Parts: sequence; C-alpha cells; structure tokens
Amino acid sequence: MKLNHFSVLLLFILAMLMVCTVANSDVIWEPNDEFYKNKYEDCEYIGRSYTAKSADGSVTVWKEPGSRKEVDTIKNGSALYVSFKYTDKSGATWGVVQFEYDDAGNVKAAYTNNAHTGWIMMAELALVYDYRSFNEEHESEYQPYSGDYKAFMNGDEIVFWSYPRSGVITRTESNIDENFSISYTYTDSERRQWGFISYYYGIRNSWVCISDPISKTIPAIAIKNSPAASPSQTIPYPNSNVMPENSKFPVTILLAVLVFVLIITTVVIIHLFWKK
Amino acid sequence: MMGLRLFTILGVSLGMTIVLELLFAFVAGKHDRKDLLLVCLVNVLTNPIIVLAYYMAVSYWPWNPALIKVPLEIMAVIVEAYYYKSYGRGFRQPLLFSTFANLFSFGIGEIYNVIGG
Repeated sequence: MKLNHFSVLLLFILAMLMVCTVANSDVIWEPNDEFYKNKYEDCEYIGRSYTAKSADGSVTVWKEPGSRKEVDTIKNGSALYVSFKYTDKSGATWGVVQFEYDDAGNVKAAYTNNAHTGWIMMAELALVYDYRSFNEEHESEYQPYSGDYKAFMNGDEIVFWSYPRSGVITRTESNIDENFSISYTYTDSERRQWGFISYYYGIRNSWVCISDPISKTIPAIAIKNSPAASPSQTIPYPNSNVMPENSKFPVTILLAVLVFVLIITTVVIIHLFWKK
Repeated sequence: MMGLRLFTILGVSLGMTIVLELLFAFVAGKHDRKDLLLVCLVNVLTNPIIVLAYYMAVSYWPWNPALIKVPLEIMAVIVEAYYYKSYGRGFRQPLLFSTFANLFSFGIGEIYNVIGG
C-alpha cells in the first residue's frame, strides 16, 4: 500500500492524539454500586471526605436512597469518602460510600470491587476540612509563584501536605523533576510560603511548604469558623482515576490546538514549496 | 504556571532540536539550502507534538518516562524519513539520516537534561 504524505501525517497526528486522549481519560473514580450504576446520570460528583455525625450516635448505610434495606450502621466519628450524591424526589440528598473494616473493626474507605457500598443521608455527615475547604477560605490570598524549582530538585525528600498547616502529610517524594509545578502560593501568618501542586505523578491537590520543603514537623493549627470536621480525619482519596481538581486539561488543549495549527501550516508550506 | 512552563519547554526543545539537526545535516553533507530548510520544517512538524504528547503522558501515567520516549521518537524518525524521501533533494538514505539526526539531537538533549539544563 502506497501512502501519500497526508496519510502519513494523519496517522502521525492520530497516534499523538491517542497519547493525549488516553492520558486525559483519567476519569472520575466510580463506586461499584448497583443504584449508582442505574442512576449515574442523576448523580453528582463530590469526591470528598466526611465523618459520620448523627444525632443518634451512628449513621445507617442503606442499600439505596429511600430503601428500607440496611447495609450497616456506622458509629459517629468514622471517616467516609463520598464519591457521588443523589437527590431524591423529596429533596433529600444522599451520598454513596464504599467501605470495609480494618482489623480493629473500624470503618475505612475502600476502593475495591468487593467492598461494601451503600447510601447515607448527607445530613448525617460532616465535611472533613480539606484542600477545597482551604481554597474556599483563602483563595483571595493566593499569589502566583515566581521562584525557580531548584530547591525541590536537589534530591531531598519533599513533604506534601493536605493543605497549609494541616498537620497531615499526604506523601513524601525525593525524585522531583521538571514536571513539578506550583500553581499558586499562599503565605501563612508565620510568613511561611506554601505552594499548591495540582498533580505530580499521582500526587493530587497537595501543598508543599516552599519555605521549608523537607520539614515534617510544621505544626497544625485549629480550623476556626468552619463547619467542617477535624482535618486529622482526612482519609485518602482513591489512588487512581480521580480527575485532579485543577486539571491541566484546558491548558494542554490550547497548546494542542496551537501545535495542530503549526503542523497543518508546515505541511501546507512543504507541499507548496517542496513539490518534486 | 504550568501552561507557561510547558510553552517554554516546547519552544526551547524545538529551537535546540532544529539547531542540532541542522548541524548534523550540515556535517552529513547536506548543503543544499532547500534541504536544510526542509530539515527545519520537518522538525517543526514532529517536535512540538512529540514533546507535548510526552509531557501529557508522563503527567498522567506513572510509567518510566523512557517507555514513553522511545515509541514517540520512533514515530518522529519514521515521519521525518518520509518527508525527506518525498521532498528532499539530496537524501539518498532518508531513514538512516532521520535515525541518526534524531539520535544525535536526542542524545545531546539527554546530556543537557542530565547536567541540569
């Protein structure tokens, strides 16, 4: 089969776009729940941690919203991850949880296919203060990052926090490369500068302390004026398949369009001026 | 800002690749102006999309970056060879030229990255 140059170019662009598309098809993690599967179009993504907080001392997990079939009861204070919410006809909002028990019998979020799933009334849950809560409170104070990244790339173990002065370390990482990018900065009341990392090799929506990137002992401060629960109960998000909150997608799409225009222009120029 | 950084990376990468492959072409005996210009344009065709695809892939996949680089470079070699064969004047062995030109620029680029560029 003889290919003309447009076919070759098309194949090349398609192959590259496949890389981009597959890389971006990092879809939102979905619970393995029957009701969710049947009604996913009516469900709204949340993806946040909550703690059980019911006037009865425990919350009931139901097979589905409005169902009388009980999956389990979970005592107050247990941390849960709600991936999606659903509002029923009466206006009540329900969150889907997926969980299992640790050796001590405590509930923990689980992302495996054989974990328990069920629905809890959102009114019985208290939001755990997280990076999004922090954003809502401090977004107006954010500044662009103007420094370089050399301090992060010297092989030291860089500490990632759930949000500035949370006291919760999400991960540490020694191999920082050129993909490490600070979206914006925040300066706390003790003049420590922090940088937000939307995504870095599986680390999502975390903060680093620019003033002291290797310290693991930056003390936590109490959250004031927030209805959210204690940050110490933050539970891990699913390891994969959760789209980062501040996705690079729009920027990369813009760059991809620019590159595409550049390619087409170049092909036309070559075709016009290099005819044999 | 990630967008600005990526844009800079695309620009620097393209500039360096063009300079290095032009140098390689000149040393390899390609002195025809139109052929040298073709070397530039062919790199404009392949380099930005390869670099963009690479950075997108390493951002989202926890794979060894080498596993992503190699197939992308192979694709670039094939496309460039095709254009040298179809439009070049003095490319008697376009695939060989494309392979070594890319190995040269890729190798220099890797050395540049290692020494902290």
